Amino acid sequence: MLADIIDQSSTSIPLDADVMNFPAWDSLVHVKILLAIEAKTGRLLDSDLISNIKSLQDIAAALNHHDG
Amino acid sequence: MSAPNRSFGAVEILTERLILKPVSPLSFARQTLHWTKDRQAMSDLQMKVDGWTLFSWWRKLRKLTRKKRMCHGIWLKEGGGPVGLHMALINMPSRDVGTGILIGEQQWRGKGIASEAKTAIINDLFQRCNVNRVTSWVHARNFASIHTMHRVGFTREAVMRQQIALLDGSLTDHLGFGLLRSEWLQRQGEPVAAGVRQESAN
Repeated sequence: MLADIIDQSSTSIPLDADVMNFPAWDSLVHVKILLAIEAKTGRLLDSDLISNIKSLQDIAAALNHHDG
Repeated sequence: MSAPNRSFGAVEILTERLILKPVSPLSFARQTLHWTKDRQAMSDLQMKVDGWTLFSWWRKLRKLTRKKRMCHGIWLKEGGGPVGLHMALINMPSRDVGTGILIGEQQWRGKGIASEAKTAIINDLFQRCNVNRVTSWVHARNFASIHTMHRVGFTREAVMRQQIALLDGSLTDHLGFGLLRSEWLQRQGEPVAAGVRQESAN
């Protein structure tokens, strides 16, 4: 998802990428990520999730949370 | 403990791309009145969304620059008019500062201006003004500002459920973010977002 949004190969994104250590993850990308998660899950994210998504792992957790 | 509020007047701050200057309300109001037509931006700042005039915008800016407040206009070093506004209000005796930021020029949103400006002003607040914590409130649908909070190092501390009415009438949560002086000190050894450096004009 992040690779699609920033138009980079997924192999160029470190697994520990987060808003602090990955410069391409700017505010516009952040908006797109959260909207993409909402589109994928088909519902608005709650504020806990919104304020806790800061890393690739958090994105995966948000998507898994929906699948689970 | 060192004396609180040693100097809570705004000073000029330079960052990698920006000049942050104390606001002169009348000239700033003249240059930025068109920002008040951006209903979304005004709504995000919890300001009224309609009916702004040069007089009412000037009065608002004048209020934002009064005692115990600090208001910086945000300019690009490359030139042009102001692109944004950062506001701060100190609460004594806890030395807690409430802050807010507006990037008024739409073409400069999503380019890291808010993170760069906020980081520099927060550095100034902790270094020069001796504050103990900085607080910022953001509604839950303002994803870009939440990103800024993460970048600058804030922790989400509070949720006021369904406190904010959005422009479409729906309700959303209000999120309180905080950054303590001890956390800021701890972060000084870490890489800073957006390569911000700060030079006081004094």
